[in-house]
Amino acid sequence: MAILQKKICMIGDFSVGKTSLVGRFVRQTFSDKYMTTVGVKIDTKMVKLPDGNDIKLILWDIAGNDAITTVTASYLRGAAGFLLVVDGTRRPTWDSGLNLRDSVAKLLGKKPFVMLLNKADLREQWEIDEQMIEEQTQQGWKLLATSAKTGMNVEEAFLELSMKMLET
Amino acid sequence: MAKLPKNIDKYICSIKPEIVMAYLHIDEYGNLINWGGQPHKLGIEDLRVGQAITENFNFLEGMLPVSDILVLRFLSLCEEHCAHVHVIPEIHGSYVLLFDARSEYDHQQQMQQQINELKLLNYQKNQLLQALDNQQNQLKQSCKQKVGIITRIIQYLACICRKTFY
Repeated sequence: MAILQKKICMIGDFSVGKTSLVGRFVRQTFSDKYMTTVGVKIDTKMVKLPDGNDIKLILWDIAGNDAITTVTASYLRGAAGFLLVVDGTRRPTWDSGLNLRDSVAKLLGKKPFVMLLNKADLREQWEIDEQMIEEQTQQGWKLLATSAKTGMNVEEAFLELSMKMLET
Repeated sequence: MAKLPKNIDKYICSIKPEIVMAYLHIDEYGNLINWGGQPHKLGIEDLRVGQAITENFNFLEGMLPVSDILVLRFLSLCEEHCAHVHVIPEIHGSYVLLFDARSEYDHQQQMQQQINELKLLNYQKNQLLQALDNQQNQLKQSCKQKVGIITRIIQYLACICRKTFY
C-alpha cells in the first residue's frame, strides 16, 4: 500500500527559527549559529500518528520573508498545510506572521495551519503577551509555544498539523 | 543525455548560462517516462521508468500537473547541491529541468546572511535606544518630583525662619 505523503510549508519572517525547528524535528539537532536560508530546503520525515497510521511529511523550509513574493508563491503550490512561525522575542515577526497567514489563505484557500511561538527558552525576553495569544486563540487558531533549542513542543507541532491535515 | 524535443531544447538554450543537472519527462499520471543527466548529484539514485515521480522526487508532491511554466528557484534537496527547477507543461505530461545553482546559491547566501544580520542588529539597537529613552523619561519624571519636594521643603523652612526672626 502506498504511503500517504503530505507537503508542509514552514512560513515566517527571517530568523524566527524555521530551519532550526525542521533540524530539531528531522535530525534532533540544534545550532545557535544563524544561517540564512536561501530559496527552499526540502526534508522528509515519517510520522506515526496516534491512530497507528504512518504519514510521510515533505517539509518545505522556505526562506524567511515578511511578505509573500512571486517566488514564495511558487513554493506554496500543492501544500496541504503550513506551520506559521513567529519569534517570541521580536514583536514585528508576530505582525508579519499575521499578514503572511492572510496572504497564504488568499493563495491556497483554507488550509490547516498551526502558529508556533518559537524561542520559548527565552520567554523572559518575549515581546508577545498573553492577550495577543488569547485573541488569536479565540479566533480558533491553534498556537503552540516551541523551542527548537530544547525541543519543547516540536514533535507536537508537526503531529498536530498532520492530524489537522488528515481531518480535512 | 537522450534527445530532447526541440521546444525543450530551445527553452534550455534561452537560459544558457545555467547548467542542466538533470531532466525528467513525466506523463500526465505523474509517472517517469524518461530521464537524463546526473540526478545522482542531487542524491537521487535508482530512477526507474514507469515509477511514480514523487517516490524519488518528493518535492513534486502536489506540484503536477502544471498549466504554465513553473520555476522554483534555489531548491536544496541535500547539503551539497542546489538547483533551479523549471517545470514545463507538455501535451501529455511535463518536463522537469534541474539547473545547477550551487555557486549562485553560495553568493546569494552570503549576501542575504549579511543583510539579515544587519537587520537583526538594527532591531536590537532600536530596542536598546527605546529602553534608554524610557529610562531617561523615568529619570526626568523622578527628578521633577524631587525638585518639587525640595522646593516645598525650602518654602516650609523659609516660612519657619520668617516666623522665628520677625
